[in-house]
Amino acid sequence: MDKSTLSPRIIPPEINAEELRGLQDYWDVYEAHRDEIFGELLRRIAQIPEFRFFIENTSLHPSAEQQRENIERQRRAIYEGEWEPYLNNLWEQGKSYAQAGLDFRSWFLVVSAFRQLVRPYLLEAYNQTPNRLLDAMTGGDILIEFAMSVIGESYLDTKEQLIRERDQKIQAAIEREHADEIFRGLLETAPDPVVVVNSEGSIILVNTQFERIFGYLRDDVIGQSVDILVPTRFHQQHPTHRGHYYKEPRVRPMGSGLELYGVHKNGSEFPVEISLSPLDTADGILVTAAIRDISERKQVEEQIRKLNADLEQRAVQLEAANKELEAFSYSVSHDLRAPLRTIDGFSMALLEDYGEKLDDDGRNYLMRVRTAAQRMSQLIDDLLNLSRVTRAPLNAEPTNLSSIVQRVVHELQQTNPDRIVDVSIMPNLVAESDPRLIKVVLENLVSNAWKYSSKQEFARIEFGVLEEAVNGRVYFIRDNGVGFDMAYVNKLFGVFQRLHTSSEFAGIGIGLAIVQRIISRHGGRVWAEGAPNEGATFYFTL
Amino acid sequence: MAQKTILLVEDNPDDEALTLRALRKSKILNNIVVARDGVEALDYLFCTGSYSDRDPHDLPQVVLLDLKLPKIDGLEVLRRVRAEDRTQMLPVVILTSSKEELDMANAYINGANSYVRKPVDFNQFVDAIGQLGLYWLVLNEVPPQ
Repeated sequence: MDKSTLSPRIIPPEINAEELRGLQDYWDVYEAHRDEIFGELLRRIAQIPEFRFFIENTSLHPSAEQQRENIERQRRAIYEGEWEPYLNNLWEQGKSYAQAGLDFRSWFLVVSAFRQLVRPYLLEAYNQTPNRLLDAMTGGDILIEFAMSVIGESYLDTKEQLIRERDQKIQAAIEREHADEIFRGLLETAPDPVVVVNSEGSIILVNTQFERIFGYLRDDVIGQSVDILVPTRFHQQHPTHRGHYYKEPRVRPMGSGLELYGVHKNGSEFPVEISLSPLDTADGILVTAAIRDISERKQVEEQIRKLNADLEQRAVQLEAANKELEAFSYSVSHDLRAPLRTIDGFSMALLEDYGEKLDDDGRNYLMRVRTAAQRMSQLIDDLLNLSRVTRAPLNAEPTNLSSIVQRVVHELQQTNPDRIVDVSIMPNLVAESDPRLIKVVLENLVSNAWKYSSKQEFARIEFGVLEEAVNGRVYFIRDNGVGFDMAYVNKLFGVFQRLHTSSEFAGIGIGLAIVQRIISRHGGRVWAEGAPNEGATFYFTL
Repeated sequence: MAQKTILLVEDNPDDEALTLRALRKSKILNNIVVARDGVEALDYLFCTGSYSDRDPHDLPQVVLLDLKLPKIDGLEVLRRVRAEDRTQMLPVVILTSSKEELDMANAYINGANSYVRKPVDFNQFVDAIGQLGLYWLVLNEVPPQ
C-alpha cells in the first residue's frame, strides 16, 4: 500500500523508551493469549447486532492468513519501529468497514470489549510488579487508542468521500433530469416544428408546433421514418444525405441553396427551411431538425417581386408618357399656333385690303374671328405653361415668400398706378420650396386677390401664416373682394374653370390649376374659403 | 451699296405670305429670297445645288430662320452655317412659333443672334417684323467680309 494513501492527519506515534517497554510488555502478553482473547471477542461481538454482519461477511472478516500478517505487522511496528505497513493496513481496514456501511459506534463497543478481555491476562502476568503492569496497560492503551484513531480517521474520510460521491450522483441525476426538462421546454417553446431523428432515420421526438404544422399527432410519427415528412421525389437521395450528415455532424442549414419542401399529413407540400444540429446522447447521435414553414415568406417575396415588376413597368410607362407629353407640347407649341396666325393674319389682311367692300357687320364678324384666334392662342400658351409646371424639375431651397409677395404687389401697383390697395405682408416667411415655381403660385394668388378686389372701395390684401395642429404651417392670401359661393369651391382649381365671366373679370381660368399643380408637386395642399361679396382666402401648405 | 438681301427660311406658305406682307407694311423693300426647307437654305448660302452659279461672297444681310423645317431642321441649318468659316458670323434670327425653353436654349447655344416668337395677333406680328427689319437692316453693322 502506497504511503500517499495515508491521511495527512495520521502521523506515526512518538513513543519514548519507557512507553515502548510497556508496549512491548503488553504485546508479549497479548500475543501469548491472542487465540483465547480473540475467540472470546468474536463470541462477544456476535451479540452486538450491528456487528453480526461483520462476522457473517467473510469478505470483511480477516482470514487466518490475513490475521497472521496483521500480527506480524503489529509485532514489527512494536519491536522494529516499522509503523507504516501496520498503519496502512489499519487505514484500509477503516475504509472497508466504512464502505460496508458499518456503524462506527459498534467499533467502539468491540474495542472496549477487547480492552476488557486483555486486562485479566496483563494482571496475571505482572501481578508481582505493579510498575510493569501499569506500564503494560498504558502501552496497550496507547496502541489501542492509536489504532482506533487511525481507523476512525479512515472511516470518517471514507464516509465523507462516500457522501460526496453520493451527493454528486444525486446532483448529476437531478441535473440530468433538469436538463431533460429544459430540453423539453426548449422544444415546446421553439417557434417552429422540431423533429428529433436517430441515426436510423426514425423519429423519436417531436413538439407541438410539429403537430400543428404537419397535421400529425405525436403518436402517429414516433418510431416512423422521417421520410414520411419528405416529398416522394426526394426519397431516393434522402437516406444518402442523412448518411453524409452523420459522418460529419454539425450545426448547419439543410440543403443550402436548394428549395426544400415538407409534406403535410394530407399530402400537401409546403416550402420549408431546415436547420440541423447534432445531439450527442447516451443513445448515440441524434439529429434535431428545426423546420420553418416559409410559405408565407415565399408569398410575400413573390408579391414584392410582382410589385417591383409592376413598379418598373409603371416607371417605364410613366417615362414614355412623359416623353409623349413633351413631344405633344413641342408639337402644340409649333404646329397649333401656325393656323391661328394664318386665321388672324388673313382676317387682318382682309380687313385692310377689302375693308371698304364690307359693311359694319362683315367687319365685326372678322374682328370676332380674330378675337377667337387670339384667345385660342392664349389658351394654348396657358396649357403649355401648365404642362411645363408639371414637367419642370423641382429644386427646393429656403425661399423668402414674403419678399416674393412684396415684389408681386410692387409690379401690380406699377401696372395699375390708380389702384389703392391696403396690403399687409407678414415679413420673412421662409419656406423650403422651388423659388421659380413658388413665385408662379404667389403671382397667381396675389394677382387674383388684386383683380377680384378691384371693385372694392377699400381693397385689402393680406399675406400671412397660421400654425395649425393638423396641417402645420398654413400660408394664406386673403382679400376682401367679390369672393365666391362655397357651392362652387370644387370648380376653383379645375383647368379653364371660371366662376366669373370674362366681361366681369378678365381671365381664362388656368391660374389656380397651375397653383394646385405646383403646390402638390411640393407635397402640399391648397384650398380656399369664401363667400359672395365677402372676400376669399386661399390657404396652402408646403 | 448693293441691295441688302433677306433670306427667309419658311416652309408654311401662309406664314411666308404673312411675313412678306408684314415686311412690306413695315416699308422694308429689300430683296427677299425665300427658302422652303433646310436644304434649300443651305444651297443658297453655300452656293450649291440649284444655287451653284451664285456668287459665294454675296451673303444676305440677315437670315430669318424657322426651326421646324422639312429635310434639315432650323437648328441643323444654324449649326452648319456656324461651322463654315465664310458664314460663321452671318446674322441669323430664329423666327418661330415655339416658346419652348429647350428650343430657345438650343438656338442660342448653336449661335443664333436673336430669337423671336411669331405672335398670333397680326398687328403684333407686323410690329415684330418691323422692329426686326429696323434693327438688322438699318441699325446693325454687318460683320466684315
